[in-house]
Amino acid sequence: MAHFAVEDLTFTYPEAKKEALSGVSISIEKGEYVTLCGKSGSGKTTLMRHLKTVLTPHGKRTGRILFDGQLLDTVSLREQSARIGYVMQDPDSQIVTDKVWHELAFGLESLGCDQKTMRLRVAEMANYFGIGTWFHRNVAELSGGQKQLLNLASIMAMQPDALILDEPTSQLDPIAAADFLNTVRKINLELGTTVILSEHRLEEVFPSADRVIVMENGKVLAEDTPRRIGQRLHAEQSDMAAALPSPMRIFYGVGSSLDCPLTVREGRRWLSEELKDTKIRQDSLPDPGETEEPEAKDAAVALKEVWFRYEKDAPDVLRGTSLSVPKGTLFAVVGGNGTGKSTMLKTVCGICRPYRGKVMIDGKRIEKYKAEELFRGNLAMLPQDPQSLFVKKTVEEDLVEMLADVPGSIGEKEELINGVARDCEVMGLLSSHPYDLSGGEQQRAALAKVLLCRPRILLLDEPTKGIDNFYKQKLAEILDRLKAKGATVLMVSHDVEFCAQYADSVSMFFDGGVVTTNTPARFFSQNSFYTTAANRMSRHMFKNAVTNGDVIELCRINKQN
Amino acid sequence: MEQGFGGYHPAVNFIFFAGAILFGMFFVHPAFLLLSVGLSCTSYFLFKGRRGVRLLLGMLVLVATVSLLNPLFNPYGETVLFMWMWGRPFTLEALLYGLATGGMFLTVILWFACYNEIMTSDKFTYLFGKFVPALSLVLCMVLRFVPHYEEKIRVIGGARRCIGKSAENGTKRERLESGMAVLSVLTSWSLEGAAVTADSMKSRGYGSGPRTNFSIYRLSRRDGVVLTLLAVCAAGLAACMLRGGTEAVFLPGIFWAQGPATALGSVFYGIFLAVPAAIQIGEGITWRILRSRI
Repeated sequence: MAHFAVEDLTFTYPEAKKEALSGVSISIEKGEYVTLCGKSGSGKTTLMRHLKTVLTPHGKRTGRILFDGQLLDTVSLREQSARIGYVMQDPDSQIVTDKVWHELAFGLESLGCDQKTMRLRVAEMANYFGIGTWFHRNVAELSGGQKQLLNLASIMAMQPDALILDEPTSQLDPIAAADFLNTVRKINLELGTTVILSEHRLEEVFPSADRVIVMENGKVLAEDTPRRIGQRLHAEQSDMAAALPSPMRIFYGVGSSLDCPLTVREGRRWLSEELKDTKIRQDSLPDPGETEEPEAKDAAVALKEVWFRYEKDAPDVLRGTSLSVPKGTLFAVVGGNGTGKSTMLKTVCGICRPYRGKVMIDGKRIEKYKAEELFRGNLAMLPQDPQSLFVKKTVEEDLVEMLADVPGSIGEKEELINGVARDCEVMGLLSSHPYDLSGGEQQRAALAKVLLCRPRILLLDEPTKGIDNFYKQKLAEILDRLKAKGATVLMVSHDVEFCAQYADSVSMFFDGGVVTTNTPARFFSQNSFYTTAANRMSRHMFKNAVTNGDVIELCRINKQN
Repeated sequence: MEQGFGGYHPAVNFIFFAGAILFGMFFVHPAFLLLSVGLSCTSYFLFKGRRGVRLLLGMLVLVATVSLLNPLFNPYGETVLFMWMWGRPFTLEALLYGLATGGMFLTVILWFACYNEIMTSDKFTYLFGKFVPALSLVLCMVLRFVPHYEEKIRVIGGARRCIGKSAENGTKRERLESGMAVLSVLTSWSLEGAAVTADSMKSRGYGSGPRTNFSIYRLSRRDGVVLTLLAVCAAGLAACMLRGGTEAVFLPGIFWAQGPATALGSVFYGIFLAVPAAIQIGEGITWRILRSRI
């Protein structure tokens, strides 16, 4: 008997013209690991919410859902709470109580368990998830990754036999995300819990999924093993193909007749096999050469021996940071959590004042600028959470707010807004409420708002957080257009793949300072761990292939000869 | 504070502080006052360590000021020390009365400071959650939301400053408008978050039937022993108080109760108040001995 069976489910939100789900039929076996993927707005979340009665949205519905052979609606609330676990996107808002230990027990309290059972279950979960060291802490002190792990642990304490996870890692950095997904995998393997996971980071989940369901426009587009899904998406030239893991994309880019690799390990083996009979004449792409560090007075942004700490007795966050960003380039700073990357951006836009060292904007010390002068036509920053910028009911009103105290006629302003909206591809979203947009759309709307400062230097803090590969490509196009107009972009990011593909220079940030700066090709081919999947997969054959495109190109060149 | 006195059951902690603060507010008899001042200072120092010295010194200044100022405004009393300001008397009784009031202030404030160190929010919610379960959940959700919103306000303020929309140097009206904008972002952002929190609660069975309360505290034997000791001392002290052993009058003439009720009462009071300090010191000694044996 299937664990979940959805039979011909059609659902329409109230007052919506389009069906959110139409004729969805799927069946999920016990102990299966199923990945649900699709572009934002394809109905993933709506479908997953239907698998738990309390979370089911209101609207018009036909079709039925069976849980363990029983109609889901007839399964009691208590039983559903205990047996079906649901983890949502936002790690912060899901937490209810103020202490870690209390949060772990929250579900058990609601189920009316007695002290003894609760003690045992909580202890068990704290052990299994390695929470022991932060068991007594306040939840406010935890990192995003720890919070999401706590959410999962708190649900696992109720011993569910099915886990539903709705993009659980979209707000986490790559290392915390990998950690979280490994834990989910471990639960699936060791406890046999059924896992239904929606995710846009397919690199991580493809190798562990038993089955992948692809959704588009509220319909199930395909349903198969990861390998065959890859094949199908490629054959159909779907937008979703951009989200496939690097080894798969390289495989299809080269057009091999061998078996498709899923992981980097398989990818390496495949590449060796593929080029077995080919003599490697060219093992590297032409190198554009070192990036030259411009003089501080010619640089768009220059930091000179900057030291900063948040409080008098606190440790230094920036420890002699020096950096110079050439004009008209996309400059990326990568590095781990808590190394001070975001603080560095804050010193550049004047929120944090360094106690030693100089910050130069366009060759002039930042202190010499007046606040209005700095943010009008010079500098602007897009924060990590685009939501923190929206003030009004519609995107358009929000954009108008930006220009409220700028001189100029209404016609000029309108033109300016339209220009920015076109650049950021938000023309179609102008009348929507900012909170109704998807993560990628919100980001673009926020970017449009920031661009109304007409900055010559744009600062981006983790611009790819929470958005899927499809939207990342769009973001890259927008940044390219800005660059063509002469703007300089400085971004800090965890997203190695994005930086490798689109940045002009990459810097490694560690322990409060910049360790090294180079072109992406040189930078990533020197690293062995902190580098792209394409590079890890091809480093035994090629010297400086960093992006998927590089590997495909080198394969093609060598095969021709 | 999970060691020493703070490691005891929340009920022990709470009863001690309730008693200490209540008694501290009523007793102005010098013997009792000396005990409570001495022991509250000792306890505070033991809980806080060196960091506590600053508050202690500050408090001493306050007491000195209160006791010296009192006679300036209070001309009553039999023993005139000297005359000042066109013949206003500065009396010994008023000075002593000021000293007693200052001492009372000192102990009550110090006990509250100790209470803050020991009674963390989860102990309080645990104690009172039993009587009003819904209230205790609300309380700990509030404790979660306050830092959560503070953080959000910080993020919003930062985001607006980065696009030149802060009105730090602006006029009053601009600052007000900017404040309203932050508030509006916070409201819609929080409502969004609150919807998720509600879903997360429902999804984990909140409201699906009767609820129980989880706690990480256990009433152990040593808690029982200390609780009994506190109860015996408090009862003894109350008896002595009824016998008039704690009576003290300063104005217009001085009368301080003396005799067996006072003596016995101060013994009980001393033992009661010395409990946390004794536990704290005892634990320190035990550790030193254990370490020296290694």
